[in-house]
Amino acid sequence: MNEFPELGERYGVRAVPLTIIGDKVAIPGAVHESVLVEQVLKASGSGVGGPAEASGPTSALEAEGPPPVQRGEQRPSGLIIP
Amino acid sequence: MKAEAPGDASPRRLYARLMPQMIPLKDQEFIRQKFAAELVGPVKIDYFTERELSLEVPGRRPCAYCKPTREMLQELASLSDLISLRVHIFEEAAEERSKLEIERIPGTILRGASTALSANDGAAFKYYGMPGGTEFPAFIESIVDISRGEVLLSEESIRELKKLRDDVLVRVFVTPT
Repeated sequence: MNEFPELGERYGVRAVPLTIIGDKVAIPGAVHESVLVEQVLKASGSGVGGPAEASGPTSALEAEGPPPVQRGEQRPSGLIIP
Repeated sequence: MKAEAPGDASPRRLYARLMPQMIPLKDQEFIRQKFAAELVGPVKIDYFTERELSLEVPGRRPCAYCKPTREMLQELASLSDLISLRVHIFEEAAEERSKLEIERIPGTILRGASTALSANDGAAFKYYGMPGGTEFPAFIESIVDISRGEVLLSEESIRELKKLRDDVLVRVFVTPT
């Protein structure tokens, strides 16, 4: 983070570790691998479980229009914290 | 780069004792023994950095961690014959940085021989910045994992991830302390 502050600003990193999956989802801290696997599959659209949560823009850097309704917190950067 | 045996009085060993080390000699010995015990297959390290200049060039943003990272990787590579290191100058290695998809410096890629972790020429593990401080032990373990071609995920996770059809980029932000 301290070597690439511009990346931290782009993704709105406020605390580490922070895992960003597919420019869509941000997971703070350490989580169980099942959570990571689930979010990786959702980010790719490869399908896992129920309907995808992110129905809006696919890039956190190019968000346009009103943000879609999401379960979980959505940051100003566009990233979703499940 | 060949590893050196303890007590070796070669000029290289004497030089190493006189020059400041990025990795303390005692730790280098521990890592050398760890690599000897745990490494199985070769690990290729490709390191992208800037050309080191003795002059300060106006407008050129210095890469503060490029040189110490290079020195650290050179020391690591010297601790096992299974580790090879290639250093690339970012501005001059367009083909390599495009192939390995390196975006910034210092940029390090670890690749192993096992197809379990590396698909064709794809990178197995990419690290931007200097893997120092609290990140250093994890970096060492990454070298071991790639060498051994082991996947540490559960069978269920592996089964689920095989459903992937597209590439997914996973970035982890850390701060060495």
